[in-house]
Amino acid sequence: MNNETIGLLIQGFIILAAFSILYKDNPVFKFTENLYVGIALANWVIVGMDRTYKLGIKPAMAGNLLLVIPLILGAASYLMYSRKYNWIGRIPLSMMAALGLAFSARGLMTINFIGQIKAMMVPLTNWENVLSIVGATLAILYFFYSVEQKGPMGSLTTVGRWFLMLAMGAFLSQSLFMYCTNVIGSVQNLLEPPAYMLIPVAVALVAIDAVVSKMGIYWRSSK
Amino acid sequence: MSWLDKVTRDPRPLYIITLIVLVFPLINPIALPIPISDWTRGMYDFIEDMAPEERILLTGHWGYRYGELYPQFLAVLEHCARKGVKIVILDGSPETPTFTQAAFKELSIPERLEYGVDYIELGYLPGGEVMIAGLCANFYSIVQKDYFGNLLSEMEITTDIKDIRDFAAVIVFTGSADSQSWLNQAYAPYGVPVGHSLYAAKVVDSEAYFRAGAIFGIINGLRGSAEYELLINRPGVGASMMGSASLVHLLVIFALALGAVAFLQQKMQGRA
Amino acid sequence: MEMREIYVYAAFTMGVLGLLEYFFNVPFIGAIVGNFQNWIVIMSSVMLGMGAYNNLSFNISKIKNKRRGWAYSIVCVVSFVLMMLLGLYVKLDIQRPEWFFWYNNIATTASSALWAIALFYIVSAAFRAMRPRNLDAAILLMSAVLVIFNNAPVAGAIHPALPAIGAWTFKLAAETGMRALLIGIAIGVTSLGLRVIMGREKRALGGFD
Repeated sequence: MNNETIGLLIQGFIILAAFSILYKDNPVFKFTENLYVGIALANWVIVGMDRTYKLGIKPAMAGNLLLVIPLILGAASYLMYSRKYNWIGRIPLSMMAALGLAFSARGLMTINFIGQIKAMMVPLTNWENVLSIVGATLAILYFFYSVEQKGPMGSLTTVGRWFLMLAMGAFLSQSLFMYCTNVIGSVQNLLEPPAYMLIPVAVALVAIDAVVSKMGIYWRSSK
Repeated sequence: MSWLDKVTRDPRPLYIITLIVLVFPLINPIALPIPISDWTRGMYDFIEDMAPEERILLTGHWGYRYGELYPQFLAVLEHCARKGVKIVILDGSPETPTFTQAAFKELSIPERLEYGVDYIELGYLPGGEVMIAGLCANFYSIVQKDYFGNLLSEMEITTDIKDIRDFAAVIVFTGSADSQSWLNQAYAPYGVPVGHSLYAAKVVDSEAYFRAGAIFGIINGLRGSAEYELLINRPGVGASMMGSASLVHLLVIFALALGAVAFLQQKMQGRA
Repeated sequence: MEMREIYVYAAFTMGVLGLLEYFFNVPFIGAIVGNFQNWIVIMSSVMLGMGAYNNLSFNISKIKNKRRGWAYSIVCVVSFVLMMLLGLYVKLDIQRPEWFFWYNNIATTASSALWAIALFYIVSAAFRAMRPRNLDAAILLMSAVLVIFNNAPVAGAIHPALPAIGAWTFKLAAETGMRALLIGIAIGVTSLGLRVIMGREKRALGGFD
């Protein structure tokens, strides 16, 4: 049995264990969930250690002593979890948050605000352009809270809300597509030999549980 | 409670129906025409028009949303490799380097291209938008070595980079705020063209940017990677999944229609 | 100035420098901000372990107190430790085949499969919950159905007009509703950013108060 075969069997087990929640909550699903969480966390820590060493510790040891400051600040951020010293932990986080927000804000105003308004300035030569301008304007009006949304204003914002619902519907459809991809990918992996040999085992286990439940013999539930 | 609610009280038969609808085209493939959208065409044409000495930055999380982003990354990387453009890869999350290596192996990149001359991997740089802003303003202030510890100043592909303007384009493979961050920091201040290769749910906002001319192309999840694979004439994972995806979508439409009928029936009977 | 409020002043300093660097071409400020950007990359690297720290503290506490589901916490902690040992064995190089084998076959597979479950719930919800109870819901569902025609190649096989209708609906949704949301996001983030920099929004700076 080579590595590839073992790998496919492991994948088959993981996929079936994850899908088992669709039958009902069970220990195998919880085991898989926690296994995944442990491994994913370890990945982040290993990469964090690698990056800290290569980007911070190694250059600092090579003479760039200023880099000791971000290393200390980064370590200080763990004090966030201390009740007494969490104000120290907030310092590096607030530095990152503030600088990040400053950078985001300056870019967003150009791209999202000015850019999108510029894009709305299209010639009113066809009904599609008119619809696009009117729709965007009414949708923006929906978020205008300085005037009470009643009467004529209420009617306009209602139409604006319809255009927002169009966008929400598009989100729903796109999300559906996204989840489809994950399922199809998982099922494709499951249908690869020898992983598909686990399918009858899973089906048999589900059948046994279904029969046993019907017969009134229940598994002892965990406290 | 409507008749549909009574029938679907236990959702498990629905799950089995969904699974059957999904599996059937995988076992008996359905050949479906896949028209190419403007978004994918925009991405393809941009890379196709690039000159071989131009540099492109590929960045993103192709390890995380493995099902969608990885096939997209493979397709774009293959196209860039064929065109001979200089490829700089910036891994976008901790798990991405693992899959970058897998992609190199799958496409035989080390055998076709020379590391340090034709392509390079910078590794993962945390820091979010602050890191991106720093990289765009002054490349060497943020990264001095590649993933393997080689000095970038000694690698032919990166030796003359000062800032993001030394790249012809940035293509972001993500579903998170990174797509916005690269627009904010590369396109807005420096005018560097940005392309988005996203998982499907994120495409709605990118469409607004595409219509505004802020991005040159979008790869729309699995459908987009199927289209791109057709354009580069390298059928892969994307094309093989479209049959199943189509049938599941039809099932959802059928479900919505049935739900609407049940609701209207209830309403007419005065029970809604 | 109270010592415990120092993080507010740190945020103010960084935020003002970040904005000044963009609006004024002063080399001194550009150099300082460039330095801080590099520092933040290093700080973020150190902070990559915060999630693990938090999660493990919770799981270890659960094991110690034998709270409900503590056996699964053991699975989490043990898998973390084993993977960490493997990471140290490969000398932190996650491109090594040993790492790729275990990470790809377990974590990537589990991640995809756990996300995939949502599709079944969406199909079930489409039958049971997604009803056009009012005009807003009807427009939402209609939009979803039309955009599906844009994504599913089978729509073109059913009728050639369906993908075009889907693409048009998607374009309209993006140019109207989505545009409004993007403008709103820009205004919202900018105002939040200014509030954080001015010290009026402390919760965003990581406090638990």
